[in-house]
Amino acid sequence: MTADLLLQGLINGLILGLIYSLIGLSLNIIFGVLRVVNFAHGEFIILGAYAAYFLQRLLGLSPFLAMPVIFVMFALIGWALYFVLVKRLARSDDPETASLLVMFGLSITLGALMLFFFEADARSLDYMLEPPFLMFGNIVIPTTRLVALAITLVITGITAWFLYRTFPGKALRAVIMNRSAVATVGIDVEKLSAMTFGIGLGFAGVTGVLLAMIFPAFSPFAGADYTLIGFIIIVLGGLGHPIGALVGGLLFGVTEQVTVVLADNSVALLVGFALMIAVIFFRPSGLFGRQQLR
Amino acid sequence: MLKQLRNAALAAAAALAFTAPGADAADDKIRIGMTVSSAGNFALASQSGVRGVEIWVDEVNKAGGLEVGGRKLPVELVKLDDRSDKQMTARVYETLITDEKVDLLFAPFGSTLTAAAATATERLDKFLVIWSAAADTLYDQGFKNIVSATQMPVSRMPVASLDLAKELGTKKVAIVYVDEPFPAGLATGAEAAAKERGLEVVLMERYPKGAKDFSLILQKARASGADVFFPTSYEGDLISMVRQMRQMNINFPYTFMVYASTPQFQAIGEDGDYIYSHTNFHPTINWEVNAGLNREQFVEAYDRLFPKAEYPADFQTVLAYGAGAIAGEIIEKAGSTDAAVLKQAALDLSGELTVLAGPYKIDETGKQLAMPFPVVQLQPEKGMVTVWPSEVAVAEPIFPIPAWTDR
Repeated sequence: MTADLLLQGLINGLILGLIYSLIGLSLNIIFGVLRVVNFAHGEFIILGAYAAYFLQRLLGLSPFLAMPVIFVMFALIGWALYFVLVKRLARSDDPETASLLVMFGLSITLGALMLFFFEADARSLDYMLEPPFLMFGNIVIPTTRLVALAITLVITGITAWFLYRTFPGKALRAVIMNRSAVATVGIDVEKLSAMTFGIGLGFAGVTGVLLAMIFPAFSPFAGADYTLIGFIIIVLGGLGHPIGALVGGLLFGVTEQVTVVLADNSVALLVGFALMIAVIFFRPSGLFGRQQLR
Repeated sequence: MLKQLRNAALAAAAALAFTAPGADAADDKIRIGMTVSSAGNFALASQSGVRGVEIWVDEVNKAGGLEVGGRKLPVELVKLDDRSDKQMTARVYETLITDEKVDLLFAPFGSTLTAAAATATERLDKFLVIWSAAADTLYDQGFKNIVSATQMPVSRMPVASLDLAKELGTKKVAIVYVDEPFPAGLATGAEAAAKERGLEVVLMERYPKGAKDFSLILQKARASGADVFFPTSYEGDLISMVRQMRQMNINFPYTFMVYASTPQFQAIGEDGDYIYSHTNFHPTINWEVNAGLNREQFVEAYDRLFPKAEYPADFQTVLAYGAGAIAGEIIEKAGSTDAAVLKQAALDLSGELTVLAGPYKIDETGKQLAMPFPVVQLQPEKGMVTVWPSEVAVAEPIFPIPAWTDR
């Protein structure tokens, strides 16, 4: 039975890892292009979950249909927020530290606002897929997870295509490598930055819906947990590297889930952090450091 | 809130001003002291509780008072503010005893403040009636003059649900808990209670606060072969567990969730069906009381005395009211307000009384051994109904819980 459980843990880890990597991906795009340490990322994720909750309650929209709506909604919010908040940071002496503090403040503000408007009770999206689970031998996989996995793969695929095959995507990667050089060749870095922040928050919103589907209860307090997971993942994979997030997510997911099987959940959290510290120790630029990107 | 604060401040000021002349009034009435939290973490629960005591005082005085030594003496409640503050609580209980010259005391809300109050009442040798302190440690400190009239300690809260599990013929228990003081205390209590009843504890699994995914924990519980699934976490985690149990077709013949009795949990709808939980105040829980009001009379008294209360009576009100009714019996039996005599009377009455909150039974330390939280089940047609113990059950437990695929 333990062998079955281990296999189950491994599969769980792969699926969760890929979904976690979405958190890292959006966090990394924002950090890579804007040098903004988005400490409020987790709160935007939870806001995405609440958006799906209210779209379902008020308009009867299923979480699947809500995803594109939420992406557009959050992308617009991100676009606007760029001009209101992020742009001003560039004028600071030390934009990275300033962004950390501003975003930390935003995180606290958003958490408090959600608590005020949505109350502290745990909420849950009301939906069920038929059949609820699929059996592969002794291994049970909830259909929701498979669907969430498929959506994650599609999103990752589109992102990869966007980053490597389209002009704005290539420009975006170029900004990650050398911001001033991109400006000198006549690309509107401003517009690109606003777009990036928009895409980043759009992903955060969609990730929130996916997470609310597979982890059924959410509350205003959960944001910080996701921010933390996001940062562990991008430290593992390499700061500012979009594909690094994918590897970081998988590594973290599998380590966490297998540890739950072998020990317990409290130990799993510990092992996750130990992994991060080990990477910082032996490979400070992450498994996919910025060197590999060039 | 502002008004309550002002009232509390006025009460405190008035109490201080009249301390000297009022001090020898003890002969023609029984003065009971307690603190209420006008502000801070415990304000809401504390104010819910004090209403219960006030209902009891009103009921006693309408009947002419308590019979002590052949005379009927009315009861006077002296309330001061503790602002949910531990240090302040100890000081105010001293004030109540030395300046207000109260005859006995009711505890403040919660274990933290009650422990502070008990240090004062022990030192000054007064009797303390507890209605809401659930920490086991409080009763292990050798306090002589305390009695938990209605609140059972955390370690005993899982007792009734495991009695029912045993009765239903289950054998193996899987306990899962979030690593926080109260849920961990419940889990340890459940482990001990299960072993006492000859049930085998096949899984004792802890997880950190903030965990989102329970799928592997649930599968470990299934793999352990348990027929009783006993998570002691808060609502949010329990909701996740139930949903994931359905998503992975995980079934246990008996699933008990402490917070499944809350409206927040029940908002999840039919996924919550058949789950067992517990509560002590519900329209289907009606004990055969032999002291104080029954549930209907109590609700009527609450509405009459507190027509403007923002909340209906809750379990704190019930526990505090029950403690009042039991204290009344103890005082009449003792015929005195001497702490040692009252404690002896409290022990003599152990096993003899049943109040609104349930039957009363204590040990030498003053720890409450009875007052079981009756077990309820969320039944599809009937909603939440009491299924155990037999004195208050109104429906048969549905056992085993039907598998997800058979619903």
